[in-house]
Amino acid sequence: MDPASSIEVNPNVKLTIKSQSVLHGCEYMWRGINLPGQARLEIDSSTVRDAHYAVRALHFSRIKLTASTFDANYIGVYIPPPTPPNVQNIVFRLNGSPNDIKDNYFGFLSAYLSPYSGQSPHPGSFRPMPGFS
Amino acid sequence: MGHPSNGSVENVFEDLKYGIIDIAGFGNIYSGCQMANLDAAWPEGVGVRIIDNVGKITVRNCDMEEVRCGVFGNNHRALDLFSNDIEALNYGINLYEGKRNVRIEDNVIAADDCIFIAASNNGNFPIDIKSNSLTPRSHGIYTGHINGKLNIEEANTIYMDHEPGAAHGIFGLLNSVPVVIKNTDLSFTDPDAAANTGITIMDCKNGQVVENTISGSSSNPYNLGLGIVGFNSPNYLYCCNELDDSQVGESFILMCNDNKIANTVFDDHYTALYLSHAVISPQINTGNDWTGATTTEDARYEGDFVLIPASLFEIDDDLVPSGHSKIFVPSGALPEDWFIFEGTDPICEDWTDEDEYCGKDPYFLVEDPNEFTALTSTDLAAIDPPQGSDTSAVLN
Repeated sequence: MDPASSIEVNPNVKLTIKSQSVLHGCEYMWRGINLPGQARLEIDSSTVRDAHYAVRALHFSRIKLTASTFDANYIGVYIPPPTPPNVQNIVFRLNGSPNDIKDNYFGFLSAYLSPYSGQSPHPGSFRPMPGFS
Repeated sequence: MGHPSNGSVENVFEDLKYGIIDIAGFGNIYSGCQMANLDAAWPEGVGVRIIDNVGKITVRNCDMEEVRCGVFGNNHRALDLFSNDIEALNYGINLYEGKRNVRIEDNVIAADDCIFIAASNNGNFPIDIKSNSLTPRSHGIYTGHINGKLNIEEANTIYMDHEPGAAHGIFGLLNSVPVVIKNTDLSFTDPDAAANTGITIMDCKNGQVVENTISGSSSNPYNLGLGIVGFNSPNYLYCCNELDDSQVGESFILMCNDNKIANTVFDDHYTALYLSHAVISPQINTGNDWTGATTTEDARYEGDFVLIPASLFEIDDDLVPSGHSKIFVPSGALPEDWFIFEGTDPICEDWTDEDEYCGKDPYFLVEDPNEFTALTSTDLAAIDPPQGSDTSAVLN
């Protein structure tokens, strides 16, 4: 992925990443996979690396992450808190299963790539932030 | 993750600043997660950080190693934390400014402070701490400024094997609610440890410490400094506690008026019962038991002798085999002024009356706990000094 690039999943679109796929930066970090609203994402048995937010899901989006690796991302999965509280803005439950994020690895196997121009917050040179937020 | 009924199952989090941050969530369940090497400087390095949740968050069956803190809740509401295995550098579970009920049950935790709860305003929503196995380096369970129901009961086990000492099994500070500490098994296992305390109640009121077992190391009986300490804490019930192998078995300091010290079983101590400038209110046939004790001092009162009547012990002499010979009082008083041998004392099983049953009524002896206060200096001045004692029969 090019520096500061992203994958935008439009509303009512489902993106599936599977079969040992690897999404990663080269020299600089990239933005990650963004679901701005009412989109669906499934990642299975794949790797997402070197992103600012590997997955960023908003407003009634649905995600299912299984058996995948999230490595050296600033944040693995980022779902902003609802505003105001109690407003449902993300649906995790797919096919009635509560196990929407299962058997994944969130870690720091690789070193951070250099941040892309204007990346904020700057990831620093130390450990990534949370696996989930 | 602020969302209903989310599931995070069996994920692995390594070498991060946080595993999971949950902000304003409700119904989320984190189950079977493994977290390792989250050792960033506090307040980072948290396995599951929960902030401002609006509905119950569950963390269960998670395995955390080398984390700075296992679970950190801030301004939280309902939490269900159970069956987790946490090896933390600082805190196992740290909850701050909670507002609703919490269950902490069946966790195995090794940390500086295994369970640390402060500034909670949970009111009638109980915090229940049950059946946990704790190995602390500083505090097994720390509770401070709790304004709500807190129950530490049902077989918590605390292993104190930390050598440097100055550790507390359970420490309560400035809790003004009916905290119940019941059925804890506290053992100090390292014979080189010292200055440890089993249960400390400091500047609290209206609580119970009942049916706990606290023991030091039999190979070094005094590695446990103090079994139970009540410090400036009125209206507390201490009942049916078994104390063994400590420098001091049970100690009360300053204003502990309207305390009831009942059916304590003393074993091997230098001083079994120690009062320092304390007022605990008279203990009339409450069944404390020195019959199996090995002590240098069965009891010692330190302070102004005029206060002794306010902490009188009336007790069956069968329960104090050494009689007055191991009762020590300050100049101006006699042991007979403090311990009067008469009457018949109950055993633990005798506490069947609903008003006095050991451990049953959290507001024991007081109808309105909100009106209860420690004695003032004016109250103390009104205490009649011991009569007929003008010699220093026993010196400090």
